[in-house]
Amino acid sequence: MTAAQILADTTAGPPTPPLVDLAAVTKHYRGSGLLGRADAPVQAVSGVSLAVEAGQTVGIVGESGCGKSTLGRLVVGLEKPTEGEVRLRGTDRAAMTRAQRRAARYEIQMMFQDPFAALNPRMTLARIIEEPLRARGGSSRPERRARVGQLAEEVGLAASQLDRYPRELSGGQRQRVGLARALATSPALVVADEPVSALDVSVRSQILNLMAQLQAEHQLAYLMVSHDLTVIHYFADHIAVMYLGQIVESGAPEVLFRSPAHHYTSALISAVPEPSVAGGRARAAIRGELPSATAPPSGCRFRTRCPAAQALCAEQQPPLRAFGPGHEAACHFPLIEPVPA
Amino acid sequence: MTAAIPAAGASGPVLRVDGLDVDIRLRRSVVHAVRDVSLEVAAGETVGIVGESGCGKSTLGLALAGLLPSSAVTRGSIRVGDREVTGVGERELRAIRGAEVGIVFQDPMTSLNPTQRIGAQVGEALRLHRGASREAARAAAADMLDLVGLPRPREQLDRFPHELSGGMRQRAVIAAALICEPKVLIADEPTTALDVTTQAQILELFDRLQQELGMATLLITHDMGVVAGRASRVFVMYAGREAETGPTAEVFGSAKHRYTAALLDSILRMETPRHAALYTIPGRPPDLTADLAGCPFAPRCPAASPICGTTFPPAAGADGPGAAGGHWWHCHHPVSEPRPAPHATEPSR
Repeated sequence: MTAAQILADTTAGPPTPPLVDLAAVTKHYRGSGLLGRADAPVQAVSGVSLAVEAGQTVGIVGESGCGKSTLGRLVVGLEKPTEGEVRLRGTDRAAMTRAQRRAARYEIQMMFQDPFAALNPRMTLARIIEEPLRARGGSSRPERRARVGQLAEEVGLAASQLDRYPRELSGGQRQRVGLARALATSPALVVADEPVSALDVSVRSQILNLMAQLQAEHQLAYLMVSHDLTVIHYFADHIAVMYLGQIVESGAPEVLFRSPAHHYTSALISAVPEPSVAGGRARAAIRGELPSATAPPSGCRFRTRCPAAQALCAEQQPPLRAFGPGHEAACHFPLIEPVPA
Repeated sequence: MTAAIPAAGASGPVLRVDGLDVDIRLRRSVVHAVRDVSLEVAAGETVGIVGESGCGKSTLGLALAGLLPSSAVTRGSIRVGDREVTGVGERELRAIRGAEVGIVFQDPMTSLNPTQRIGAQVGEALRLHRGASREAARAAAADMLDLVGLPRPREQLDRFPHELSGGMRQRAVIAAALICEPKVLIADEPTTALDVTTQAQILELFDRLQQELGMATLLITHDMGVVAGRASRVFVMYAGREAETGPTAEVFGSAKHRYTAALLDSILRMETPRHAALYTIPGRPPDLTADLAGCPFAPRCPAASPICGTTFPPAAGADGPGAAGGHWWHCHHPVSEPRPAPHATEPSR
């Protein structure tokens, strides 16, 4: 983070609204039991606020079930928030006109862990990449073909491969197609949900290099969702750590990983097995399982697994406090001293 | 059981693989999935098998577990204790599997029957191989679930797999694999589908169970971080073959094979400079249906010379190939130390 960015983070009102920002967003899924019996709602996302600036990568880390994928879907518009606002350049999506919402849809695209899990296996790659352009309309077939050729070149696919089918591709090539498809409508933001988790180490590096190159060329922003801390640490400009639907800590990678304030962040970092000669033995700093999102613990949601939990943690939900420029965490007994209010 | 189980920590290989080839017959071609693999695992020892998708490591695991498809043809020898496993019939194989060889795969749902209760599944091997009564198997299953760290083990006995979280299911699979106290445990990507915090817990569990039960463990994974600090030896596979093998610290600290070095360089680490251009291995792994002459890594290797295209490199190393505790590699142009640090490039953004 540059000094200018830090300043922008700390000044009260930035001159232009962020590309995308979430204001106290909550997403509950109504539990539907057997025979229409209503169960307690699943609190997938609870009161999350987050901003993504143009050209920036925001990384969301957390365990499965922490709500990070739901957050991604809320940003893309695949889900509507139960409460709160998802804003695009300052405008709440819920308050947009139909035409605005339609335009917004092509400004934010999604990239999945397996881009073909949800796609027709009988479509050629050219057709798969072309699909968002057809859906948007307003382009001729030759125009779309030309655009597909250009996209293929950008992501490093040979033109000869475009007549192939998804099953003929390796994992790395599939992710290149997923990127080309996501970029087809020239979006400002790509939500990438575990984009490299299924890939081999050597292929993973290729895709991350490609994503970085495309970001630089197109001033592209990413919201990268992953359980893999090394990927998020390497790629993101700003990181938010999620636990049971809430952001428990956020900040710049250098700060967050060097001196985390939250015990959960610290536990996540120590659990990463490092391929080093010296050790590599991951320590299980936290015990037990993620509690149910239908009945999260009172107070601090992490307290049931936290080594530092005290009585207060069950009584009061810790507020987000500042620990430095752009660094916030919600913990009653943090690992470092907060900035005096 | 044919032989007494060696006590924990006793030396001598419990699992011995000698010149193993596995061919998988397809309709019009043959995949040479495993080529001339030899390795040993002693009681209480963990050996890591490392490689990328398609390198044959999972086929090797299936061969050792006696779970190859009928289209597979194997040559060579696999010995568990003093018993030859290759070439035995399905019935005998089933007796070995579960009783002497325990298996844990990546996705616990593939190993668990969704319609059967956890207790019955964990205790099954005991009833099958040891003729235990339903009650005895149930009691043993509860003890085993406790050992693998499932809370309230008695309650878990009557639950179905879908009622458990991913981490809990994998613990149940481990309990089922270990209930007969097998001599050998084959673990193929046992933590790949799990979160880092759960992974750390399961890996600690493996370490503890290994100390308590003293089994020989073959840990198959693409994740070098999982192998580091856990396996005493590591076996790097490429294109179905041994590329390099040796004590883990030596292989990771001073890799000799160009592929091992490239693999280590392409790993993303916490200390990788943020936004630096990442090292990548050019090209792709070879087609294993082709009959490969020479070193299979040669087309992607920065140091390849004409001999690499014609002759598979014989094992080389100070201790001599096959030496207990030795380090050897199959490379005509091994890396000479010291290697330049990876990611020496400047940040690209």
